[in-house]
Amino acid sequence: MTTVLGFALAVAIGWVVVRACAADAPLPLLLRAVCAAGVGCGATSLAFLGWLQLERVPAPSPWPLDFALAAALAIVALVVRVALRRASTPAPALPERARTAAWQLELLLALALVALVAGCAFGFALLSRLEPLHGSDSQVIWNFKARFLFRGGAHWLDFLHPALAASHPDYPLLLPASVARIWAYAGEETEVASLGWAAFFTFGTVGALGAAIAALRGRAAGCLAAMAVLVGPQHISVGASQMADAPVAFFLVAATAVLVCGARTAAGRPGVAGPGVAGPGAAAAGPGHLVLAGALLGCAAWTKNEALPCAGALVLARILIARRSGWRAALRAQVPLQLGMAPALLALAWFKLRLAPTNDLVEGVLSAATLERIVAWERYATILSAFADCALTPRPIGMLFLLGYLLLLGRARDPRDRDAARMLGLALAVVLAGIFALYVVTPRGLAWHLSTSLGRIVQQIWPCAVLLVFLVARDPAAAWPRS
Amino acid sequence: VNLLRILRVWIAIAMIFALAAWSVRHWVRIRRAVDWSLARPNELARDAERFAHLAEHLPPHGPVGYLNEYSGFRPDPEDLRDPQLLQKLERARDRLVVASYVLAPHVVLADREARWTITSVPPGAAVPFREAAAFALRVDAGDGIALYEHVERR
Repeated sequence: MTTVLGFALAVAIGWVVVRACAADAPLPLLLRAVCAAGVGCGATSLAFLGWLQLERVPAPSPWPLDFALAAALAIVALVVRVALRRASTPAPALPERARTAAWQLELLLALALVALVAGCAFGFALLSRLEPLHGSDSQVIWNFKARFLFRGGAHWLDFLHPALAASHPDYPLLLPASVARIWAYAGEETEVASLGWAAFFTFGTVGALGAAIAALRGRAAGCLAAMAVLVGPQHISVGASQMADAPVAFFLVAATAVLVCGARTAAGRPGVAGPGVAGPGAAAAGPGHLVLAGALLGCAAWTKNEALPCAGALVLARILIARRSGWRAALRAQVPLQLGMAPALLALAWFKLRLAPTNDLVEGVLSAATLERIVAWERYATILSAFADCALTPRPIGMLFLLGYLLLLGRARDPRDRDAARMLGLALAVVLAGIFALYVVTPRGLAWHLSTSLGRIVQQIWPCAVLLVFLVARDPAAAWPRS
Repeated sequence: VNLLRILRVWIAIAMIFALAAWSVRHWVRIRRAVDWSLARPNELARDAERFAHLAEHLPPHGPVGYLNEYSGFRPDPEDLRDPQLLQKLERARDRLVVASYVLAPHVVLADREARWTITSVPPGAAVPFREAAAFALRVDAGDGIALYEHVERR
């Protein structure tokens, strides 16, 4: 029961934040719900860790801490809500789509999605049972650190011991702190804590993406997008193994979905020039949406090292898209996003600068041998080959299948989403270029590094790639004969 | 033209349906293979129980030494071509990972400098202590997993 209270309070705290941020323009209900759980997970993990740092011992039960956090956030949220309502013209909600002539198609796809979700939930449960210690990453890194946080008392920082380098002591602490917090509620190390979060992130990704595409391109497209993520490379296996790539994928796609939906509602706001507005495009999302997207990006960075460059790429893409209205305005438009990211980034800076050792990869890259690796041209061929394998191999779905979908359906040509699609495409291109560069300079064995990490890194950005394709493609229901 | 558009939509949908069916079939096939797949995790789970038993006899925190039959072993590249040796090395590594996980927040160190040292060797194998007299056996959890205390570091 107390375990449920731990999850419920996290969601409630997230809901307070989401309600305040979406005050100036509502988001789809399912998207708001999953964002609430994600932001709640991040906020409570920060609070739990702050408590540990101040008191040096785990709270016997962190509910007073969570209630205090909820109360404080509610007051801030009320102020933000009033300020947002005063500052901006209310935007219409994303229109609820009326029953279309293609309702039979939508019904068929909804049933297929339910069946697939049930099949994947079965797969998730199966893998969770097959690996009682939940795969190497969770055992070596995430749940391992959670045990230090929960059991360690005044010695909870012992996970930073140099002898434990294999557990990557420099990795951020969202997952360990979230799991340890639920254990503190339960008073024991219940498996429900890590399994619950893992299931949420695995299926929350599907919910965030499906809700956003359903609102922007129609319910039929939303169902298909959700299915495309579910059958994506390693989506269920990464989630069930409790790897951090699943929450990173969730936070990145949820933040992108909020940005894209925010841009669409802003395009419908009175006073905005409308479709094809020559303004800051995706930056036209309301300040509340930007703060929420920033909070989600901050949570991504607080989950795993790789997510910080991904968040940076998204911010860079937004600035480049918005530069048409001038660099100064483009930079100013990022302020709400940065505000949302600030709590998690401050915690990350505290952790990296005060506690964590230098990342082994960064240490290796800063050596003189990096120059030799940069001019070793055969490395480029190896990396390109691995990238091609990742994109073309249907495991079970590769990028080729998504491109095939886009070619068959055709482009939507909706000017309201043009800037958002450009921003997302640019951000993905920057991320891919960054991943490529990282492999060029990696101090580890290239073949080993590619084989052990590329698939998981692709899994982190895969839902965003699906979002882009379905944002650009036509609604399949639009091609349906009208009755 | 309209018919062609509908056909294209159906092909796109059929493509994703086929992938969905492939995905569900994949889980069903794993389910059928469950009996043999369960063998290894069960072994690790048994190891975990043994290490948890040792943890009950340790102080709440602090370093714990860990030795196995490959402590100090530096294999030649030639040796690493032997699949049997690779399998044994992997098994030893898995046990160390499980020990670290189960014994947290104790920091498990791959040496014997701490007061407490855990040995994890195949049953019947020699305990890798040179001056064995300095170490007193405290708990034998079975299957070669035991806890020793250095009598001079109390």
